[in-house]
Order: sequence, then structure tokens, then C-alpha cells
Amino acid sequence: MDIVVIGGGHAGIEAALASSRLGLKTLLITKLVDSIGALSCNPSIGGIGKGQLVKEIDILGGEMGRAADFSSIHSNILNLSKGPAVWSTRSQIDSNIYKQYVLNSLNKESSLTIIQDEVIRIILHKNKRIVRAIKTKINNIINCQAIIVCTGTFLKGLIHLGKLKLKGGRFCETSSDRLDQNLLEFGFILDRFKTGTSPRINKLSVDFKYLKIQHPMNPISKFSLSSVNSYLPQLPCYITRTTNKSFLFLDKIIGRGKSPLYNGQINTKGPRYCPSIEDKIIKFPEKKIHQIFLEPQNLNSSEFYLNGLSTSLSPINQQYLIRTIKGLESAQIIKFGYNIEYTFVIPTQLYPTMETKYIENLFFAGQINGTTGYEEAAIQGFIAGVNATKKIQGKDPLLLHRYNSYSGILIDDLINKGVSEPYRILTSRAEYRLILREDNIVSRLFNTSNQIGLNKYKMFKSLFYVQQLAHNILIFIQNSINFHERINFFIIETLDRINRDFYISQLNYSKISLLKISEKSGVFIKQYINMLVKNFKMNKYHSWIILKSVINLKYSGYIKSIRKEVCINEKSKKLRIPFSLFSKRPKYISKEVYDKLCEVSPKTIGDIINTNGITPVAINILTIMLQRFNK
Amino acid sequence: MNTIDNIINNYNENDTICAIATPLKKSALSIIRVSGKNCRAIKLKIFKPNRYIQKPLVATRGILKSPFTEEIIDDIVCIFYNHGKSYTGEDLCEFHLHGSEIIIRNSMNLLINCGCRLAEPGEFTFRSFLNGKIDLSRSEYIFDLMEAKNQAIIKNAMKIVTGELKNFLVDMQNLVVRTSSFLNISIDFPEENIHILTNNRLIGSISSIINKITNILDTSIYFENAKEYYRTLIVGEPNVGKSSLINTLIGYEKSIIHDIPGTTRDIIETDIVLNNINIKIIDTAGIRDVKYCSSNIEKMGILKCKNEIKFSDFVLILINHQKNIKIPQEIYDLIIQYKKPYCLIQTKSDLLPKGHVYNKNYIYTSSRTYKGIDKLKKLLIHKFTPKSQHHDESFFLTKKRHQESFRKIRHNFRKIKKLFSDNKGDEIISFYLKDISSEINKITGQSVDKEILSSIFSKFCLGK
Repeated sequence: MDIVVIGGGHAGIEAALASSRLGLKTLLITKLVDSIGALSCNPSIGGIGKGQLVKEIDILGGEMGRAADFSSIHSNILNLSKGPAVWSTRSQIDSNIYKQYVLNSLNKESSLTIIQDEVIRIILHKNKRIVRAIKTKINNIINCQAIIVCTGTFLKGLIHLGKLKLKGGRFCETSSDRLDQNLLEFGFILDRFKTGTSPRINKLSVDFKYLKIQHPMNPISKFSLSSVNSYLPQLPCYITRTTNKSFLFLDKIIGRGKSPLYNGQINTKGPRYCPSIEDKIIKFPEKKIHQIFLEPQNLNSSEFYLNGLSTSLSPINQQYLIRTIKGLESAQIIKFGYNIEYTFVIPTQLYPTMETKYIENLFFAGQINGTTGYEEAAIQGFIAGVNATKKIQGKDPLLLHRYNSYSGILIDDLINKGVSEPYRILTSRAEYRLILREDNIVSRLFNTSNQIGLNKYKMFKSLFYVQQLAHNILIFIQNSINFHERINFFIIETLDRINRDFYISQLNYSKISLLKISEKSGVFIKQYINMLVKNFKMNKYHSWIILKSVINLKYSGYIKSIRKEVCINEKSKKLRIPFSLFSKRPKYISKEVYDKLCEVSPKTIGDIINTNGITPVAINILTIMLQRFNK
Repeated sequence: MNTIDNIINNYNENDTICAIATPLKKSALSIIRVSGKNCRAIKLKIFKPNRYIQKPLVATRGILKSPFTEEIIDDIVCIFYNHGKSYTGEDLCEFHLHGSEIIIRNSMNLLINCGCRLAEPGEFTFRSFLNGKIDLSRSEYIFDLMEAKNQAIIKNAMKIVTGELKNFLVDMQNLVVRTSSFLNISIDFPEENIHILTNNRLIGSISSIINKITNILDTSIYFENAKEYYRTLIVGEPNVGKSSLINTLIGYEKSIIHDIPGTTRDIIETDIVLNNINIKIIDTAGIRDVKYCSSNIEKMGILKCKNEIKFSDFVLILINHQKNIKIPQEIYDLIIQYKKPYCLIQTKSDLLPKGHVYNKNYIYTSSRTYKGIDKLKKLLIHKFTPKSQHHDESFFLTKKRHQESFRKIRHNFRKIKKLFSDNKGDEIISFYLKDISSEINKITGQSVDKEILSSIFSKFCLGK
């Protein structure tokens, strides 16, 4: 084997597909083949920041986008009332169909083998810190050149269900208890986090009379650039809320010490942005009512996932709690919610390629690095898979940056800042939100994608052409002064008046006649379209250029100054730090900063820009003083 | 750019620098400063305290003596600051010498022979900055203290040096953080339905910051154009009480008062300070119509008065209660022609008959009973104070780069306010917030680049 991928979760899937599609002999080894691609928590893909990640995975050549489109049963674009920079796509997913699709994709790859087994040991070369082989529970030893560990929440996983403490990586799946010892021996520093999930109830036991219905968006939004042959039937979601009774019950039960999250049973840190219902009661006591979303789990099953009700209470208490919720008075729980503690690796021990700093050709990806969420795991798996391949083939690695992708931000944050709680991607983590939009993904990552060589869409090239065209339109308008003045004022107004259907069709790259748009969107846009058709000899179907060019125009001023800032930052990042700096502490660097500097041993300023412990002032002063060495 | 480049390029933390801190002229005292690694060693070599061992921070009398030639250079006082407590953050030593050019020269030569290097202009302060000893925003206003010609500027500098500017910047930064958090929640968690109340409160805070910045900027511009003093001309008929009025304003007898018309022949200038504003009051000869003038001296006095009108900032026209405005029409015309602001003052109003109808266009004064004097003073203060300073006692900015930053900040806040009120453009608001943050950092020195350093240090002279 060239590459062994441990774990069949979202990270493992992307890693295995990437390396096998690039031609290397890959082995995906997982404890339970039937749970490959399982959605352990809520049955949806995408969301704020996450939608952007999925689209990036898709354009770079990963599979999640297509899998999500294939299994989408309720699609939505969030933040539509705000500007294009924060539009995010989100889909509810049929979890069975998703798993089927993923398994089919894996089976289609000729270089990929799947085995159901458990890895208990990673074996290194004698006297060298390079991986050599893995050893499984049934004493199988498989040689390999690189290993990608994607064990998610399975390392020493401990499930809390009220007083009960069960070992497991997911409910009713066993945990991995040997591998973490192995990692400790190698010198990795590990820590523990916790996360939680909500109960699933039987749809047939719900009283829909008082529930608010949430319809999916039409036309359907998709993540992938590739086309979908047909969509699954779309199902609605429902919204309900907890009642005063729920509040009183929870208050009482937590007070009596029945919640493991608050009676000392669980001491680890959980994700701040996905609080359990107990967290919500304790941290926001003034808020007596909380919204709960009922999300369909599958087309054909009767399971509803209760979003917003993550909990660690005992089964009896969960049942009681559910029944205090409006509409769920007779609801029957099919699967209980629970909290799970697990071991993870502190990600500052990795390189930006996801390879570990201590053992060569050993890669970590996914929740094992302290992240939370399917999308965050998938992108890490993809990058690890590509980089493991590139490393073995002796080629340049895939590196993403903060200024061209959310994936770049995710990795940069993990590697440099570490994690104090499970890391979830948010748009506020991006300094350059305005240039990291869902609509400009092609221009951002086209070149990178080509370098990887996994993306083979025909549509891809023509889309790149379209983006270039939109860019040229922007330049044209900026240079034709009179028109620019008139346009500038109206362009912002126009963007607000264009109807929603048009937006969505544009994001989906589907074709709508220009004439149809101009009818609905007012006189001015008609003029604009005429101008475009005349000057650029546009095909009347190239309507998505309009949206792109309008968005570009709206943001052009800001983008210009952002790009300037990016350029300056990138330039100063390349400043070399001379070795002489490490032999003696210069007076202008404080002791704490100097200690951190020696610990990191950076080669350029860029290496320490986001490091904890090195203050921005210190970096500034260092930059100024180093400029004499870099002349 | 040259200054800062010189300093940076020549910077070597192993160097000990020296410079003359006082002006290079004959004077009572001169101070030479030495700072750096070898400061202590050098001091031990060349300074012999009169008695005991020198303690840090204690002014010590002793002899400056060359260890090479055994020659005594001067009888001096030396103060040694150890590196925790010095201006530069390194060991620093001050030699207080007699202010003779030769002594200074000899002392500097001695220091250089002992291994010191002559400091670049501004290098001491640069080291102070590198060692984290000074807050940029305050250091520049210390400069004002040295250079101010105006009481108001000194008062302002004190305010800033004691932290008022920094506090305001901290307040602004807090508002930026609050707004930023609000925005991030609204974007990243749209299902949370952020309260409109928070929105309104934020808009309120932003409005008040915009107003405060406008106040500060207006005052700053005013003081940029502010004069060192304001010329206030006093004209009136002979013996109407001009000199008395001035004496009353300043509180003692400067002008000679007689009952004979035509006592004041020359222009007498008196300086008073009202509310930190310097006012130069110009007392003139009494003016009658030229045809009534008896002597040439009187005529000359009138001519001088006419000249003064051109250069005055304000004219006080004094009249006598029994007659109308009786300064010559040509003087009055001149005042109007030069568009000079003026005020009509009825003097000796203690002599007005009971039942006199008071004209509200005049100020009624009496130098004997002090009636109306306060009112007059208030009028002068009002005339010469910028509008904003009427309302509050906030600081203002004398540095161009600070004014520029404040302008940018205000521009951004205005944009943010509009976007908030229109309820759109959340993602663009964060762009403006980031810009505001970076401008604030530029002022406090949290973010520095060569340009900023250069603009600061270019003004410093040797020895600072």
C-alpha cells in the first residue's frame, strides 16, 4: 500500500478518494464499513462559513459537494437579506442516500481498497521517525508509505447519558483505545474535548398543528459546479419552541445535579457555538423560550432530528423534556441524545500540509485535530490526502492561504493558534470576508485546483472564462467615466431590487434568459444588460455574468484596498529572520516574546504572524528592525 | 525618511550613545546625557563623587576627570538612572556641567574617547520607544510642552500627557469591539434574531463619538490657526475713559489718567490673559475730528490709531453717555471697511441719570464701580474662543497625523452609522471597523511602521 487512511468519516472519505484518484494504492481501514459517511449529529451540510468550505472542497476536487447535492432534501441560502459576501448555502441531507452515494464513489475507485478492521498500532522504521506499517486488531500488518489518521471522536471516546458512562466513538460503536497510547509514545501532546448531539424522534408522534413550517428554497441551490441529473423530492422543516414548563424542568433537574455537564461528571471543554440545552438555560437564564428545529433525517424514514436540543441528560429525563415542548407532547424518542468526550491531538504539532512535525509521512485530519463539523473535517481530509500523495510523489505540496480561502484560514488558525475549544469555522474568523465569497470561488481557486489535477469538469473552464469576463466588465465600467458615474449610484440599488430567484439561479450557474431577468428587475437593469450585450457581444444566456459584475462593482472599492493590504502583508511576511537573532535576545524584544520566538524558530516573519504569545507590537518592531538585514 | 533610516541603520544595542541635551550656547548649565550598555562603566571611569559612593537617582556632586590625562574637566553634578528607571530603559547618566563651550567640548571629547558614540537626533527617544518605555501618543505631546507659545496649548498638552487622549482612544476601541461582536453574531448566527434595541444603542454611541470627534477636530483646527495673541483696539473721544477701562481690566494702574483730554499720546500696549487667551489691548490717543485737533502730536496719534485698525482683531468703541458715537466718521468707516468686529461701550455709566433708557446694543461700564466689566470680559472671551470650546473642556490635537487619523475615523463611523440605519451592508461595516481599529493603533503606537516613526522622530533634535 502507498497510503493507509484510518477512519471512514468525512475526513477519511476525502483523503481516500483524493489519494486513490491521484493514482496511489490506497487502503481505507474502518471499524464499521456500514457507517462510512454517517452524519453523527444534525443531518445537514453547509451553513454560514461551512457552505463556503464545501464549495472550496468541490472546486479543488473533493467529493462532499456532489454527495450533498445528490442527497439534498431541503436546500436554502442563508443571509440572503445581507450582502453577497455572507451568502451561504445549506442543505438538509437524506443520510441513507448520502452514505450510499459515498460508498459507491469509494467503490468506483480502482486504486482504493476498503477493509473492516481496527488499527491498534502505527509502526515506524527502525531508528528513524518515518512510518512503515500499521498493525490491526486481528494481527494483520500492512506496510505503507504514509498514514492519514482520521479517527474523529473515536480515540478513547466516552459517551455520557445521564449517570451512564459508556465507552464508544458513536452511540453503539466501539471506541479506539489503543491508538492514543501509541501517539503518546511518539511524543504527541494530546488533550480532551467534548461534543454533543440531540435526540431523534418519531415523526408520526408529532402534533403538527401548532408548528411553524419552513419550506425549502426554490430553485434548489447546490454546492457543486457539476450538474445534478435530478433532485430528490424536497421536504419542509418545522419550527417549534420550548415552553416555560421545559425551562422549569431543566432548572430543577440541573439543580438536583442530574446533568453530567453541570454536576462535575464532564469536565472537558465543548464547542461554544453549539451549546447544549443545559448550557442555554444556565448561561442565558433570562431567555425562557428556545427555538427547536425539526429536521427530516431521511426521505423514507420517520425520523426527525431535533436541532437545538443537544443534551447529556438520562433517557428518562430526555423523554420528559421532549414532552414539554410544543407539538411534541406525545413524541416518541427513537435515538437518545448524548454527550461524548474524546481525545484529540493539539494541532500546533502539525505543518500546514497536515503532516505531523514529529513523525514523517504521518498525517492527521478531521476532528482528531480539535475541529468540529463535517465540512471542517472533510477539507482537512482532502488536503491531507493530496499532500500525502504529493509527498510520496516528490511534488510540491498543496498550501492554501488566509487570503484566498476559508480552508486556508481554518488550517492557519489550527496550526498557529491551536484550539481552546472545538474549532468551528465562522465568517468572523476571516479578515478578508469581502474577497472570500461563494460567488468568486472559481477565480480564487482556479489555479490551485489546476495544480492539484483532480478537477475535470468541462464547465469549469468556461466558468473561469465567465469570471474573467465579469472582471473585464468591471474595468470597462470603471474606465468609462460617464457611464461609471451613472452606474455607480444605481448599482447598489439594483442589487437589492433583483429578485431572489435570479440570485439563486446565478449561484447555481443555471441558465436563465436575459430577457426574463430584465422583465422582473426593472428598467435600469435592462439598460445595463443591453450595454453588456452590445459591448461584450454576450450570449443572451450568459446571465450569471450580470450578477458577478454587479457584485464586483459593489465591492470594487473595498476589494481594492483589501488587496493592497494583502500585498503589503505578504511582502512583510517574507522578511527573513536571521539566525543571529536566536543567539542573544535583542533589547527590543521582551523575554516572554523571545522565549516563544525560540520555541517556534521561524524562518520568516510570516511564520509568526498569527502565533499566540507573539504580540502584534513585537512583530511590528521586529519588522522595522529587520528591514536593514533584508536590503 | 532619512532620520529614521539613519537611526535604524546605525542602531546597535551594544553602543553607548552620548549627546548634549541643552542648547549649544553660553549658559549657566549644560546637560550631557549618556545612555547604553557601558554607561555605568564609563561613568565610574570619569566621574569621581566628592564623598561616598554614588547612589542611583541621587544628584551627586563630584569631579569630571579624564583617566587618560588626569586633567580635571569640570566640577559637576551627576545623576545616574539605572535601566529600570531611566528615560531610555537602559542605564542612563546625566552630567550637569557649567555651561561653557569649552567645557562642553572637552566633556564630549572625553566621552567619545571612552567609547561613546555621538547619538543621532532622536535616538534617545527611539531607544525609549524600542524598550517599550513610552506611549507614542503621549510622547508627541511632551514635545508640545517644550514648544508651546500659548497657554492653551500647554494646558492641552498636560491633559493629553495625563492620559485623556489615550482614554478616549480606549473608549473608541471598545465601541469598535462591541459593534464588531454584534455584527459577527448577526452574520454568523442569523437565527438568533438580535434585538433592535442593541442596534439603536449602538447607533447612539456611534453618534456621540462622531460629535465628540467633530468637537476635537474643530478645536484643533482653530488652534492651528490660532494666534499668539489677539489685538484689541480701544478707540474713543478724548477723555472718554479708555485708559481707565484698561486699568480696570488689568487690575492696576498702567496707563496714566488725567482729566485733560489728550493725555495718552502714544499707543500703549497691554497684555492680559483671559481664559488662557492672550489679548493685547491697544490704548490709543483720544480721537476727535481732525478739524478739532490742536497739536501735531495729536494728529499723529490719530494717524497711528488709523493704522492700528488694520491690524486689530477687535475694536472697542468707547462713547460718552451724553453724546452719540462721536468718533470721527472716517474712523468708523475704516472699521466697517476692514470688516473688523466691534463693540460699543458706554463708559462712566455710574454717572448716568436715573431713568436713562438703556440701549441694549451697548455695554454699559463704569471703571469706578466695576459695573459691566465682567460682561465685557465675557464678551472678549467669547469672541476669541472657538465655538466648540464653549461647551466642553476636551483636549485637542496639535499633530497633523493625529488629525488625519481622527478624520478617517470619523468618516468611517459616519459610513457605519448610515449602513446601520439602512439596515444593510453588514459585511461592509466590518471593513470600516477594521480600518478604524488600525487608525487607533497608529496613534497609540500599537501598530508602527517606518512612516509613523519617521514623522515623529524627524522633529527631535540631538540629545532627545
